[in-house]
Formats: sequence, structure tokens, C-alpha cells
Amino acid sequence: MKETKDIIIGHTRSICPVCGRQLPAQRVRHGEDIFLEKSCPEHGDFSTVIWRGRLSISSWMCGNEPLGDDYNPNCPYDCGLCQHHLTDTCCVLYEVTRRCNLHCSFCFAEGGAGDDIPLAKIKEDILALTRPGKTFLQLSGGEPTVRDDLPEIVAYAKNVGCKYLQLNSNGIRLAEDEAYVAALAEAGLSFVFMQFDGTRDDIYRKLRGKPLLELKKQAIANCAKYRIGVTLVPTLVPRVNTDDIGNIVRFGISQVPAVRGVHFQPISYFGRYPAPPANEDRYTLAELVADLGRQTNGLVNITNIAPSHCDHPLCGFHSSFIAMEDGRFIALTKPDSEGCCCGVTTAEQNREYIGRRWTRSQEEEVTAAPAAQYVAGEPDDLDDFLRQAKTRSFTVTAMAFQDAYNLDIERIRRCSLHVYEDGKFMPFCARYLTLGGTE
Amino acid sequence: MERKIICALCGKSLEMTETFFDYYGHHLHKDLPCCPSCGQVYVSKELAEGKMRNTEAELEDK
Amino acid sequence: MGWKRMFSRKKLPPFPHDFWLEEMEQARGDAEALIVPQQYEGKLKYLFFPGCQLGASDPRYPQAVYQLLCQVEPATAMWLSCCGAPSYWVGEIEQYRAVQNALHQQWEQLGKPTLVLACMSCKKIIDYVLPDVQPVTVYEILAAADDLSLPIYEGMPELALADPCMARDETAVRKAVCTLLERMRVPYHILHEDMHTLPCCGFGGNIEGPNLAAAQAAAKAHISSEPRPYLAYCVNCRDVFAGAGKESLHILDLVTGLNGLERPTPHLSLRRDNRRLAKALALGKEKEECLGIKLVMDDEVAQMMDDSLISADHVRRLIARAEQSGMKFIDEAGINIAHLPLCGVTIWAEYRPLGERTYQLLSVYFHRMERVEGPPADGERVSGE
Repeated sequence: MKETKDIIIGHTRSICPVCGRQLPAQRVRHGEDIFLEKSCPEHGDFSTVIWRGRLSISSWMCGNEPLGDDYNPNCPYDCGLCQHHLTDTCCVLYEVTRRCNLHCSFCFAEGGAGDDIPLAKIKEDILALTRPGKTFLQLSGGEPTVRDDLPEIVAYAKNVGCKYLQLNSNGIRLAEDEAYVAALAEAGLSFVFMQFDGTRDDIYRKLRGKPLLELKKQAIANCAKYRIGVTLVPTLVPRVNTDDIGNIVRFGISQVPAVRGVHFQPISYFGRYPAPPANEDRYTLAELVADLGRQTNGLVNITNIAPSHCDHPLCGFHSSFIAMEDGRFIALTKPDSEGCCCGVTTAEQNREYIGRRWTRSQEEEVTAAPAAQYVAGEPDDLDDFLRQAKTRSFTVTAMAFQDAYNLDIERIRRCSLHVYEDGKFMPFCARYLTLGGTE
Repeated sequence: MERKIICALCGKSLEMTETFFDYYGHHLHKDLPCCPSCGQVYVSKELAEGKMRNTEAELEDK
Repeated sequence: MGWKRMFSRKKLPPFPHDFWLEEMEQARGDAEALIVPQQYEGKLKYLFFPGCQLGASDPRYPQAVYQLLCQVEPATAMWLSCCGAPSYWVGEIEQYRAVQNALHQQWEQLGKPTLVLACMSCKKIIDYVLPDVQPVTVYEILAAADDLSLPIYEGMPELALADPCMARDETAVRKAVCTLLERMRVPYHILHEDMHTLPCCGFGGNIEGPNLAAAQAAAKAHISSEPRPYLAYCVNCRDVFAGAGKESLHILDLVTGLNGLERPTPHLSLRRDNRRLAKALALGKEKEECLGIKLVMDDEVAQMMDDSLISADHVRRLIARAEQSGMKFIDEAGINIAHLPLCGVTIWAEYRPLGERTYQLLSVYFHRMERVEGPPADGERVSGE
């Protein structure tokens, strides 16, 4: 019998999920799994799983600089951004409303009811946050499509120089109101980030309170009609939809070029959630990588997945493919055997990478019947590859948000997804941080 | 091709022939003008700075 | 550092990073020259080390400055070479240490004369790696030489003194440059007072290759808010600013009278040739001898080469290979077209022979995709499990 010893594999800093004070923390290996552990003098010990399974965390994190001594002792409360923050803004997230047309059991933004933000204030904010020719703006909420004036907001943002405009949406109105989609396209919307938790309605009933699959499909169809690219965004919750990962990917591929990729978000416990999380309620990046390989029969697997470089490697991963018309699935990301692709990427490079891949090409596409099945393949004829590469890109990406239980200062200081509010930019996980866990 | 190019070594006109390329572990092919005698392949500036550059950019991923 | 690991694990393509290593190797290779006045052998006081870029920018600089130095101190030698900075910038640490060791050896062999530098990057590296050498700059020597007669400039517009970033905290050097300006009656204004935070022109690290936009943005940011012409004491800064559209002088232009404000930036592709000419001038040789195959081209083609990081030497190798093997194409107008496969890139050139080993270069281009002999072995064409 192998002796399982607890090994500390790294030191960082975190916060107490109850009172929020900054604490030293360790990444500790118990058996095959890795936990973030910390001890609050008032509220006791906390141990949260951050990595499950045999995928090597040290290979995944190769090249990452550990926290060291140069951190803000007030992190994450000095946000907006403090001088210890390491990464420039890649994307800006901006809430245009608190209202929503769903009431999900999980919601990072605690969306629901409330008065709408005046349009004038929104325009003022967008003008302030925009770096002309550079900004990648995500319009969020609540549910932005509850606003009838959303097309006007999009047009304004484009006008003042936002380079990429993303709509974060549950897609309901996009399915039900084609004219609205047309107006968004006309206004210059770049792409839609659409909540898409699975290929079965039982998943939607559990997570969102009602069956939504047909509406999601209709939303994709409407966006396709007006050439707005759609990225599917599943929130992964153990025992609800983690067995549907392969189906989600296959569904996404079958919708190329209307769908540009899938962006997985393992569940994170901030905002509104049904109950304080036990470790079995968590789903880690390592498990997602393993399940992707298993459930897609190797179509998407560790050999073509690269850890985040702009953000901290524990914050996510990316991979890009071309889904050729004849069923070849060509992997473009080829990290070496250690899972390491290249060094640090700048925020601008990251922004351009996702901006380009998620935008639907305006070029003529050959309409072909979708391939019955996709298998890993290689490019062949140069002309054919080039023609299809421009239109049939497909990304599989993931972002692991942090909550008060697994917050890691080493990660948050590299965050490039910034929420804009009241003149300040804050890392997403700092802005939506919720305290008050049980002791 | 408007521009008439011949192989200076063999004096022959070029014929379109399947030509193979490698880049970043990917293998591609394209028909290019080639001398039927000595086999040397002609890559025009237009091709190098157009389709080849675009293909390289796609395969470089980021 | 991530980039060191990248390069060592062959994650970085050799092109364009190799370009700068080749520049360094050439500066230490066929452009290398040690000029020691016979009567002062073994009794040298100064060793002038202009660095690899001074002669690359204008071949007349090293010899002209050397002659001035000899007026101040006759027991002065000159060594045209390179301090190894390009290898440091690309993470080839072993190579850079070897270059520095060779430098130290040569300095010892010459009797440890005072090393007199013109480049602040050379100074930063030598101070750090070879602390016993204790180099000084030519600017300090010339400024302290009260008897040296310098040109007086009447009616010169006020210049903005743009210190190089490598002069951070080198107050004595800045002071020397200011003294020289005052002696030559050139009005000036220090652009950036705080010597801790001198801004970068964009040249350092040779980032132009991998990220031209970043290099250009740095240059543009530097010159954007200043209407006055620039005075630099780093020749790379001078050339970068001139290339970005700012009238720029080097302090040595004023001291030697060699150039005025309008000198454009010299072509990157022609710098190796300039170094050879600098060596020829220093050795008192006929200019033309040193260049082998002679290339004739107009400015647009030289710019094409610069943009592609293709040097004249690459084109010479291409032409030599094509002419020797006969492997080239020809069009109806008699234009020759040939290629040269290198590591990570294939270069193509269109040229016309003009006789007597002289060729007119009409166009250059390149591709990174590598032509291979045949399709991948059976079974590899569509990869699967």
C-alpha cells in the first residue's frame, strides 16, 4: 500500500471566507488531490480542493512565478487596480442592468430585480473605460437583453472606439425576438457569450429552473442569421452536467460556423448559491481536462490544451481547432508534453486571440452538410485549409473563477478580466467576492 | 501566370506539381510551378506574402 | 525567465532572433579589427572600444573619433568588435559570457589600458560582468580635455538632450555630454531630468524582430511630445529617432562635424557592410575591396530587406549559391529568381547580373513554411489515435 503523505507544494496567500482577512495559505497535496489550506485565528481551518486527479499541477504551472514578498497586504480590498497588480486589462466587464428574466439557483451577480441604470450613466461609463481601438468590452448584468436600448448601447460603445463587443446573455430574448438580434448586429455587436449548460433539459431545470434547450438552439439560429458568432458557456456543476461535457463539445462543433467555441466555467461559490459548498460540490480544472479527453474520445485532450498565459495558469486554459467540413478536427494548439506552450502572453495578445477567434468571419462560407462525426485530423491542401481556417475556427476554453474559499492572491494579481464600476477596474473575482461562509 | 518564368538550369517551362510543406508539425501541400527536369519549385512573392503568410499565421495559433 | 527557457527548448523560432546574433558574430568576425600604434605597444593608455553599432551606423565614426582621441592621448589603440549585448538580450548566456571573457583577455593582453567606450549598453554590461575593467566613456575623456579644440556652432537650434535608457544613474556621463555641448556653444535642454527613469527608445532587447509594433510605439511615445530636434549620445537611439521622423544628431556628429540634422536612419540590412567599411577606413585600405559580391539596390528594396530582417549578407549567400549551382529561375525580362533555405525561414530574391560580381537587387521576400521532399509517411497524413 502506498503511503499517502500530506505534502506542501506551494505557499501563497488567501482570505478567511468568513471575515475576509488576508491569511497565509498553502497548496497541499493529499493523495492525488491538491487543496488550498489556510487558518484564521478567529474562524478556524479551511481546506478547499483546487486540483483533482493525476494531471501534474507542476507541469501545468511551469514558468509561473510564485507570489514572493511583493504583494499588497490589503489585497483584494485595495482594488481598482493597485500597484501590485501584474496584468493589464484584457477584457472589461460592465453591468448594464441588475434585472434578469431568469432566477437561477446559481448567479455570480445576484441578478434579479431593481431599477435600471440610466442610459446617460452607461454612456458616461463606457466613454471613461474605453481605450479607443483597444478595448474588449463585455456587456453583462443581470441579463443585458432586458434592456430595449441595448442596441443603442452597443452602437455607442463601437462609436467611442471599443474594438470588440461581447454580450453575456442567457439567450432567451435572442431566441424570441429576431428583430432585436438584427438590431444588435446592425449596431456592431461582435459576438455573444451564451449561457449553455448542456444538451438535456433536465440540466436546465436543475440549474435555471426551466427547460431552455430549444430556446438556446433558436438563439444560435438567430445569431447565425445575422452573422453574430456565439460561444457556448456551460457552468459545470458536479452531478448535474459534468457528464454532458462531451455532448456539449460535439453539439458546439456541429453548429460551426455559427458557434465559435465552448467556454467552460466550473462552478464557483460567490454571489447567489444554494448552500455553502463542500469539496464534493467542486469541479476542478484538472478534472475538466481529463473528462474532456475521455468524453470527446480524445478529440480535445491534454496534448492540445494550453494553460492560461495572460492570466495565472490555474485560472484556465485555451485550445484552438479548425473543424473542417469533411470531419477533420485540426488541433492548432500544440503545447509540449509538459503542457507548457510558451511564456507569458500580454493582455493585448490575449485580447486579439479571443477577439479574432470568437468573431464570425464575414467571408463567404461554403454551405456544406455538417460532417456526421469529427475525428482528429491534419491540414492537407493549403488552399482548402486556408479557406476553411478563416471561417471554421473552434475554441475550447475554460475559466475557473475564485471564491472566498479558494481565493489565491498569487492568481488574482494576474487577473486580466476587469470589472468596471465607479471609475475603477477590479479583477472579476475580487469584485464579486462574497464572504460569510460557515465556520 | 502572366509572368513567364523558366528554369534557368534546364531551360524548361514549369509545370504545376504537388509540392509539400511542413510548419509547426503540420503538413500541407499545394500545386506549384516546378521544373519537370531538375524539380526546383518556384514560389512567387505573391504566394509567399499572401497565402503562405496567412497559413503560417493560422498555424501559429496565437 | 520564461524566454530563456523558450529559446533553449526550441520553442522560439530561430528567425528573426538569429539576425541579431549574426550581427554580433560579424562584428566580432570579418569586421573585427585591432589597431595598435606600433610605438605604443605595451605602453597603451587608452583602448577605444566604439561598440558594434557606431561603425554600423556611419562607417566614418570610429576612425574620426579615434583620431580625436589620439590628439588627446597618443598612446591609444582602437578595437572594433562587440561586447556581446545581442546574445545577452536573446538569452544565450553561455555565448555572452564567452564574449565577455574574450574581451577581458584582450584587455589584459594589451596591458590593461583604460577602456574607452562610446556605448552605454557596452558600459552597463562590462561594469556588471567585468568589474575590474572600470571603463570610462569617450565623452568624459573629450570633455576633460581642455586643450582639445572643438568646433563652435553658431545659430544651432536648441536641441533636446535625449539620454539613452542605459545611461540611467550615469550622471558623470550626462555631465560630460553637457560640457561638450557648452564648449561647442550648442544650446540644449535636458529632456528627462530624472536619471532613474530615463525612457527607452525601443531598440533595446532587439524587440523589433518579434514585435515591431512595440518597438515603433516606444519610439513614437518618446518623440511625440517634443518639438525640438534630438541630441543623443547613443547611436541606436539616434538612428531609431531619425527613423521615427525626428531630426536627430549624435554628440559625436557635433564633435567630428561628420553629420547634420538631416541624416536618415541607415538601413538595417546594410549595417554589416558599414562595419566592414569602418574597418577598411581604420586600416587605411581601399573601401571597395572588402565587400565581395557587390549589391546595387534602391531605397525601397533596402527597406524591404529591413522589414524582413534580411541582411545584404543573406542575399550575397543566396546569389552565390544560385550562380554556382545554376539553380535559379529566369523570366522574359532576364530577371533571375532564386532562393536560400535557412533555419526556420526560406529567403527569395529577384536580381539582375550587372557583370563584374555586381548584381542589381530588385526584390526580396521570405516564407517560414519549409518545403519538404514528399508527403508525410503513410499513416501520418490524417493523424488519429
